[in-house]
Amino acid sequence: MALAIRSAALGRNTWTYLLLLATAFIGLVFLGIKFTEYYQHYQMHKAPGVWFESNSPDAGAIELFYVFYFAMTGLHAVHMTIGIGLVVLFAFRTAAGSFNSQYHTPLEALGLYWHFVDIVWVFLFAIFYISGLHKS
Amino acid sequence: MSGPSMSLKAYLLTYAGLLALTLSTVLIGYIDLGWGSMFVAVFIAAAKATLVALFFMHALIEKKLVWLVIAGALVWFLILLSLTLGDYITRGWLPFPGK
Repeated sequence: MALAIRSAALGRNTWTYLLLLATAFIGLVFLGIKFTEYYQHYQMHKAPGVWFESNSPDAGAIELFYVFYFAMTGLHAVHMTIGIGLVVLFAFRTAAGSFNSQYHTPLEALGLYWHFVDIVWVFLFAIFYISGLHKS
Repeated sequence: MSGPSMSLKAYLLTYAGLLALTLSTVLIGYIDLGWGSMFVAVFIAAAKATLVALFFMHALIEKKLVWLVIAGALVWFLILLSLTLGDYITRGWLPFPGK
């Protein structure tokens, strides 16, 4: 994404187009991994309110953890989906010649959105995945 | 909006830095530091977020006004965070039933 905006600023539209498509592809790979994880949680009966089973004495707390987990990563996934849609749309707009080195403000704005969603994931990753690693 | 752009080298170094920080947070994550585990994980995450904001969102080469907006957003975020954690951390301090 960052490289795509740099290419746009330098007027290299073909590179911008290719880099935007690469960004969308990597985003799709992320979502694919995420939904594979969701499917595994579901199979392990860790879907709070839908199908949740646990023999632990802390079952209530564990279910609450999964509520937060699904809500926060799910909201992030929704924003990723919107982002991927916009990245593809802007790739086509780049190909159609809508942007040049003088005017590419929409791409800059999309980049800020994309990187903000990225920062959100940096913190979600730290809270949900890293902080409990030593117990696994 | 089309301000000066950064060099390819800066972006690649940022990317390498983010990967290195991710690797270190995973490795440190395997060590049991008690409450410190969450603290270290969030601290490294904050370092990564700073890298993304400074380079990928090119805050580093922006005008003072943009920095003012970022600072304002951070102050409000810290107010939000401190009020929430102020509740969370002090929950068990008073011996009221049901808290």
